[in-house]
Amino acid sequence: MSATDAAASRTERVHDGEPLVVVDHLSRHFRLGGPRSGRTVRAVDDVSLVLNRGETVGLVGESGSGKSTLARLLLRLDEPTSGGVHFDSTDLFAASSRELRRLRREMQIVFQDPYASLNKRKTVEQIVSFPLVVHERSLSRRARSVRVAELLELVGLRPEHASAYPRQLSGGQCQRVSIARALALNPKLVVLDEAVSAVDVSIQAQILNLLRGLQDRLDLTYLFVTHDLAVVRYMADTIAVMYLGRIVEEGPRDSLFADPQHPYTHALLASIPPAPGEVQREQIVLREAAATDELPSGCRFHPRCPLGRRELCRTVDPPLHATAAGHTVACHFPQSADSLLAEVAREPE
Amino acid sequence: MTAVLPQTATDVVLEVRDLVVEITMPRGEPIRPVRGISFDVRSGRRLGIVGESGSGKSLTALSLMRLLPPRARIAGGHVLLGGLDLAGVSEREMARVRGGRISTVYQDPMSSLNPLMTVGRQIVEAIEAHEGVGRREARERAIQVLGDVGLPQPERRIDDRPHQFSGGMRQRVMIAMAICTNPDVLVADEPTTALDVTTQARIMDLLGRLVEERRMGMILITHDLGLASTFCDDIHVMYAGRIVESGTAAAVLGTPAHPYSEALLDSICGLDRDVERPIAAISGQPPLPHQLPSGCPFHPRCAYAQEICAAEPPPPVAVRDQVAECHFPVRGAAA
Amino acid sequence: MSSVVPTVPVEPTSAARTDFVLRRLLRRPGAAIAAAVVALLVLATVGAPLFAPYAPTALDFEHLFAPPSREHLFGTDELGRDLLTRLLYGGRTSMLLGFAATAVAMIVGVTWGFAAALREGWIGEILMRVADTVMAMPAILLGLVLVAAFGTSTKSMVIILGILFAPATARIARSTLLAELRSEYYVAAVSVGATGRRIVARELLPNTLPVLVARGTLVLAEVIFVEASLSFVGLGIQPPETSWGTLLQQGYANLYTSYTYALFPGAVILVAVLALNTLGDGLQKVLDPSRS
Repeated sequence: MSATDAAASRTERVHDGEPLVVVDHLSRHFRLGGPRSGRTVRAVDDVSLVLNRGETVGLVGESGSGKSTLARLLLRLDEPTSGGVHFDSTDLFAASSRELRRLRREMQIVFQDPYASLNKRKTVEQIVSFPLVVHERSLSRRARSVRVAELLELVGLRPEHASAYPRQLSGGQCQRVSIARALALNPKLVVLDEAVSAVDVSIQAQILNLLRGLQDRLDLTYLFVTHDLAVVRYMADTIAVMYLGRIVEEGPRDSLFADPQHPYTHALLASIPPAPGEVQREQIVLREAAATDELPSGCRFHPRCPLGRRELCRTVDPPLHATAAGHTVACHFPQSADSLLAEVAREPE
Repeated sequence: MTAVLPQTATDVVLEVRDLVVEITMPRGEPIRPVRGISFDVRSGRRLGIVGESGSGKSLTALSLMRLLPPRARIAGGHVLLGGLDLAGVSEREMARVRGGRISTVYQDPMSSLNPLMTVGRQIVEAIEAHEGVGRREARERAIQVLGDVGLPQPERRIDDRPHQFSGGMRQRVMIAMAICTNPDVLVADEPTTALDVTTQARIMDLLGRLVEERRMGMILITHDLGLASTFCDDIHVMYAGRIVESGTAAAVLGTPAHPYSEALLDSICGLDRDVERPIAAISGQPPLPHQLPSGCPFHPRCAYAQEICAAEPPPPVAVRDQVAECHFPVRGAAA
Repeated sequence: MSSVVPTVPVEPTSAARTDFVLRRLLRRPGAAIAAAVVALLVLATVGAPLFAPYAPTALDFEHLFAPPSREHLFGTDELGRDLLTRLLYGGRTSMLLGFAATAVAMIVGVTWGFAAALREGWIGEILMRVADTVMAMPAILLGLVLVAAFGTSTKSMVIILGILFAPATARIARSTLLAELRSEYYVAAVSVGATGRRIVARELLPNTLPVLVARGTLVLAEVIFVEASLSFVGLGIQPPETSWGTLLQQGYANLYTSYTYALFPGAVILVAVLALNTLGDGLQKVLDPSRS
């Protein structure tokens, strides 16, 4: 993949505002414990999101944020508690099994663990041709082999890898196999669920380059789920930051990074170690939350937020609203990092 | 027999010399994932051993504690802790040293802590075993050390079990267990990888503070260069079982001398990366221990490789403030 | 991240898996010996007509209750019949019965267990509770009851023994399938759009085979043992059919007359069960997905 291939301007690639996936007030609650006493975990809570054709939407959050649950809901690998998803104007959760089968061709997923998502008793050839076996019955074995060879080349693997088993490949190679499988049916949407989090840094760079190149060549739409803000900045056009099942800040990449507003976003940014030579950003220290499944009252971030002792934060759950900065935030006191630090300093203990 | 060799400097707490780790394979030749590494750990100073998977860094950490997996063994070299060569001592002697004079904090507190025992008991056990004090005194000290690691209300929480703590708290408990015996050397093997980013910084701050207060020597094993750059004073970069570059953190990460260090730094996706251009990724993959390239192990992936790189292993070369094992180290002008 | 000890990649071949398994199995001395013994036993007994030195009904009135000698390696019985021959033919019955009953147990058990795994909720629960109930009863006692109910023809023995061992197999089949259903590659298969039966058959089943094969070996060992026990108390194979159990019974009845008469059947049963257990154990260890 030459440098010029991957450097195709991102703005050219994004088809102006043509939505491919529309997520509408989606919620997924889990009941823990028995039917009587159970607590509810709100893994995804009233999330709305739009993915436009050709763009990459980054979903950022730490463990427990609900980002992986949301990713799976988008592929109907789970059923929601409420709300809906429209894929290419089709209602995903109302689709019949026949329609769903057809839809599944268009949306694929690459998981975090390179080895777990591949059937360890199958060869690479069998794994990558599986989607073809399922959907393109009329293809002869020969035709399938040819297609598999094409796909392997597309993701940077060699033909001899086709007869290997996952355990014989490195993590990075396995991820390439997962990507090849995902692309077998020419999908429109590929969900990347922490797809580069479990590989070495130097391999991560290779995979990210590969993903960007593929997006240009094949006109793909990505949902890029990760905990790494630096990576999401590199990959995504629009970014949504999630915390405990809610989107707390969302907007175009440049706007969000130029002027973040939510204390959680500030904390995430501040915790990224600076590049060698750079000065350490001033740390926004989050209070440590107790280990509990109970959803906090009011703003769900308040127990950890440096401003969280305020009355409003403890009682009222802030909705997502537009800010002057050009993106949306769910916070009662959105502000810049400097302003936040100053306020925290003034906050009574 | 226990080898007692002379110490070279008074503030050096651990000296590793030409350490070799060998693993016997079910078929074929034994492999050597660690092939002769040497470094010093000084009290109060933080050393980072940085590398990707397959570099041998985790096995190095394990060999310091003599906790290698069944088929692995130290096949050469010395690990000198205050005159005692840990590579040669008996298992009984090592049990006294392990946890007492050299401790490790591991990556995943959930699997390293006994879920059935209260944290208090686990710490008290460690103190009783190494410090030779009675139960009551040990408990006092346990409460003390839990407070030192920032656990609120330690006298109450000492009787809680691991699952009652959040991830960050559990890691603090692990740290408490590691330092409760006032070890000379603390080894931290990817201590924050399993934690959320927002908790990582606090844990690293804690470790830094403890190292200073207690004058311990600290080794941080990590793949995260950013973490190493903020935390460590000195850095050793490992590749294919060798230390390919060593020097101060500022030197190695600011103006790397080894092509691998340089390429690795260039391939990191940082906040300042230009989004329009592809990342300068290192082509190929790290070599497996039984398929090492001839000469310099990095040469197949190196942008500056020449004939001699495939023929002869490179000698260590002093470049500016650091040492690199390379025939053609990056000598560029300081940035 | 990957484990600390690097794994050595192996040359891929198309028959990789089966001879891979065999080679690994044979490297373990216990399992290798057990496999050899089992192979020998199966071959010798099933091929009894070929290997037996005498006809099973050949009588030798000159040598009743004879001790082992060159003509009669294991001695003779009360009618002068060669014991080695009788053991081989008896083993044939025991083995064939064993294989048949094991087949029944596996087919019934696996279907039962898979059905329970795929239909979670109260159907699955009920299926498993039935299995638990049957398993709570001691096998031999239950066997006796079933024999009383269904008689002792060979056919009913096969069915009875099969029923005895189906529930435990069902439980194992269910938990194995459930484990595979929780795996990420299964989710990946679903996301590709594969549905129900195709997924189970092509993707999940192959991954459950190792456990089931190992289980089958152990079931065979138990079946042989229980059959021998039932026959020993006269409630299994009936004369004129012979099995190891009936031989043991007759040997026991004539214990003071000919010590070898009881010794050899007993020894053979012991060796067979031990070998099968060791083999099953070895298979389990070698085929364990977490190590392959």
